[in-house]
Parts: sequence; structure tokens; C-alpha cells
Amino acid sequence: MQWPGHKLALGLFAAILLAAGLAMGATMLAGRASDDEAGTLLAVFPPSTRPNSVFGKIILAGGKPIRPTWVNGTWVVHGDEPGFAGRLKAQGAIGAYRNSPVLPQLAGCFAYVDAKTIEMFAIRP
Amino acid sequence: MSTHAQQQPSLAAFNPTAVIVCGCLIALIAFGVRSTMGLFNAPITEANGWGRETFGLAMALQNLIWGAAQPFAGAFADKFGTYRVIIAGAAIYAAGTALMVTADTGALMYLAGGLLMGLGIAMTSFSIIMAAFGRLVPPERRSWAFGIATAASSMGQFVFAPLGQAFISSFGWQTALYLLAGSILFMWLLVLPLRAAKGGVARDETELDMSIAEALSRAIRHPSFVLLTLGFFVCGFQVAFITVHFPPLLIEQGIAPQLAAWSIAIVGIFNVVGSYTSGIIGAKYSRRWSLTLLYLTRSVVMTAFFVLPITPLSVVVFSAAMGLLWLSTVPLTMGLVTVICGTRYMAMLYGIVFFSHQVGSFLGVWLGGRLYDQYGTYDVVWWLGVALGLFAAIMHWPIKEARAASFSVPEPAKA
Repeated sequence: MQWPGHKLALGLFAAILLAAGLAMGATMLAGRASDDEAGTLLAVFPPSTRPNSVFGKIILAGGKPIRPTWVNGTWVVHGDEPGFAGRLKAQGAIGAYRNSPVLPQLAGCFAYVDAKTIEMFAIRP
Repeated sequence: MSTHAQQQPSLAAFNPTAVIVCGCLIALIAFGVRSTMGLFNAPITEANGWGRETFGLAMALQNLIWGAAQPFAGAFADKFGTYRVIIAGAAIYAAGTALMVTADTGALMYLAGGLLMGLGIAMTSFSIIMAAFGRLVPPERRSWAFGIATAASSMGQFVFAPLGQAFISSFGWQTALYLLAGSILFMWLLVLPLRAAKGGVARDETELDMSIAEALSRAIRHPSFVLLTLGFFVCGFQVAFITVHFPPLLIEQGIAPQLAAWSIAIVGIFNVVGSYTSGIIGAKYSRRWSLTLLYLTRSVVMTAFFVLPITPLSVVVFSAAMGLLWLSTVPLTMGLVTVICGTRYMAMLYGIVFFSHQVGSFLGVWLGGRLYDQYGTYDVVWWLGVALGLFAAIMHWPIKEARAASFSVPEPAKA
């Protein structure tokens, strides 16, 4: 009987990552704010954008920067006027989200993703 | 007492690729879903107006029940077949996950998130899958199979944690729990290729036939099995301590939260590589020496990290090194259980070894916090982790990597 080897392992893990990526992409799209939304959002600018420039763009969009996150170019922002999400995009944001699932986490055979750690790294608006 | 001729399942019984792929996906889902539970702490606690203790106790119960039930789940798999245990386990696991949505009292949460989920995890975890692989896969490919199963479990936590967060963000925590419960039920389809893995399918002719009670009694009296069990305690201690306490330690040392967050991801990625590689190493080299070296290396890496100045570079190097050494103990430990005690009751016997791991994990998490509160620093528990690594290396050194006489057919009977 012919048993599979490293090629199967490589293919399997690549397929798992691809499937997980697609599932995450689909759920992220569901969490994307429509252009007319306002309130507290997560503004995602290209990672190469300088913090000062991001700060200025948020102000020009009529919002207030609340805090940067650990992901370059991603800020928690707030704007009360309707259309805030659309104005952020007009200023060069890749997207505005009500929430973001991007959160590196680690668990083990016993330990879970720890609540304290989640709070430390959460980039929720 | 009787002997068994070697019974390899026929080619028509199963497809090797399907066995490996489906087994790995079951391990991935079982390990992945449970790792997301921390994400539900805040929303469930807020929704029910509880303190953090209720949810925390349910999860602590879950771990305890998983560890305590693992030998029994293994014994059922050994006796009645992996297929039946996973079918029942997936139903219990999914029921526990879904019931968490409606659990509005502490007692219900302990039942759903603690008892049911703990039992379900024990019945579907990688221990059960690896035992099935051990019976279906020929001896020369076993270590590789253990490696890929462990790597798939490692990938489960890496993939499901952000996926669980995405589900919560987009659909709310209740729907997220239902989606996770649904993904658990997917195991019912995945288990079909493993139907051939009934107890003793691939026993070899040197393996002695005995009852479960007899196997347990012989194993716990065998010095190498005891040493292996003691050594695995340390794995649990180190991994659980670092998982929970490493990020706060880094922040305390002035490391930017951005890097601290990435250090966790680095451990996760290298864990997959390390788990798979250790399966390959176990097939080529002595598992005993590999484990001795592995625990020794953990101690050296932990010492170097603490003695040298903590910089962004040292954080990245430490995370990569610990990632490689993370669950890479599992294929080697499972391999040693198989070599020493045979494949007939490997699920139950590995369950015993694993229980020791869970006790170590509990102490790693608890003592990490307790000693930090007492001394205001992680120094004491860190050095304790280093010392335990040396202890584990010493424990593995004298292990005899050969079938125990009490599990072998006596020489005259073989002839």
C-alpha cells in the first residue's frame, strides 16, 4: 500500500490556510462598514502610510483619531457625521470596518487564548 | 493469553490519503474550536452579568475533565473503535458548544462549557486520532503520521482563533458558537475513512494479548512508562505558562505591544513546522534522545532569553525557537508509548501520559500567577521552568526505547 508523504502534508496545510483565508475574507466583508456609516470605526490605511499622514487624513475626513493599533496604518477612529466611512475611503483608506478579526493568538493543550492577552492586542473599535 | 498474527487492514478497507487527510482535519477542528473559547469570555460574561469567575471556572472544569476523561475515551476507542468514539464525541462536543448560547446560569455553563465540552474534546482530540493512525499506518510511517496529526492540531489553534474572532465580529457571539458547533459536526463525515481503525487492527506478532486492566497495570509498573509520564508533566507546565504569561511579561519588559503580539504568531507558525519535523525525526532517530535533547534545548533557550538583554531580536529568536519546540514533544512521546506498550491500548495509555501533561499545565498557569503576585516578578517561575526542563531531560535519559517485556510475547511462544 502506498502511503502519502511530504507532498500531501504541504498540500493539506496550504489548502487549510487557503480555506481559512477565504472564510476570514468573507466574514470581514460582512463586517465592512457602508459608506454612509458613522460612529466608532476601524480605519485601515495602506501599511506604508506614515502615522502623521494617517492622523491628518482622519481629521480631513471629519473624524477624531482615538488610538493606533499594533497593525501599521490601522486606527480606531470616531466620526459623528453620516458618511464618515465614505470620507475615510476618499482620503485613501483601504476600508472602514465595524470590527476586525485580525488578532494573533496562541493556545496550547491546556491554555486558551487568554482574556488579558486579547484585551492587550485587541484592535476592536 | 493468546498471540496475534499481524493483521494489516486490506487495501480495500481504506484509502491511506483519505485516512491521513480526514484524521488531520478532525484533529484540527477538535483543537481549533476549543482554543477559541477565551474569545467568548467577555461577551458571555457581559450578556449574563457574571463576574469573570463563572466562565473561568467552566473552562478550568473543561480542561480538568478533558485530562481525566482522556484515558477513558482512549480505552473506549481501543475497545470499540475510533469511529464510534468520534461520532459520539462530536455530538457531545457540538451540544456543549451550542448549549453555551442558552446557558444563563453558572450551573448550566459548567454543564455545557465544562462537562460536555471537556468530554467531547477528550473523545475527538489528537490523542484518539494518533491512536487510529498508529493502528492503520505501518510502523515505518507511524512517526510521520503522528507528526502530521500534531501539526494539524497546531494549525487548528492558529486558524480557528482569528476565524472565531471573525465570526464574533461579523455575526455576534451566539451565531459564532452555533457556527463552531456546526463545524464540529463536520467530523461525522470526516470520520468515515477511519472506520477501519478498530482495536488491534495493525497489531504486530510480538504484541501480547491482554485486557485493558492488565495493560494499565503493566504500564504503570514499567519504569520507562513512568519516566515518560513524569517528563510529559514538564511539557504541560512550560507551554501553558508561556502561553498565558509570556505576553504580559514582554509588555512589562518594555517590549512594544505590536512585537509582543507578533511573537505569539511566530510561536504559532513555528509550532506547525516543529510538530511536523519532530515526526520525521522520530522516524529516523532515537525518540528518547530526541526528547532528552528537546527538553534540554528548551531550558537553554529559556535561560539565554532571560540572561541576555531582552530586545526585539531576542524576542523574535526566542519565539521561533520555542515554537519549534512547542508541541514537537507530542509525536515523540506518542511514539515511545507505542514502542514500549504496543498499539493495542495506545489511546488509553497515551491518555494516562497526557493527564500528567494537563496537571503540569494547570500548575504552569496557576503558579505563574501565584508566584508573580507573591514576588512581583516572573523570575522565580521562569527559573522553575528552566529547572523542570532539566528534570525532564534527566527523566527521558534512562527510558528504554524497546517493547517492554511485559507487553511482548515470550520468546518460546513466538517460535
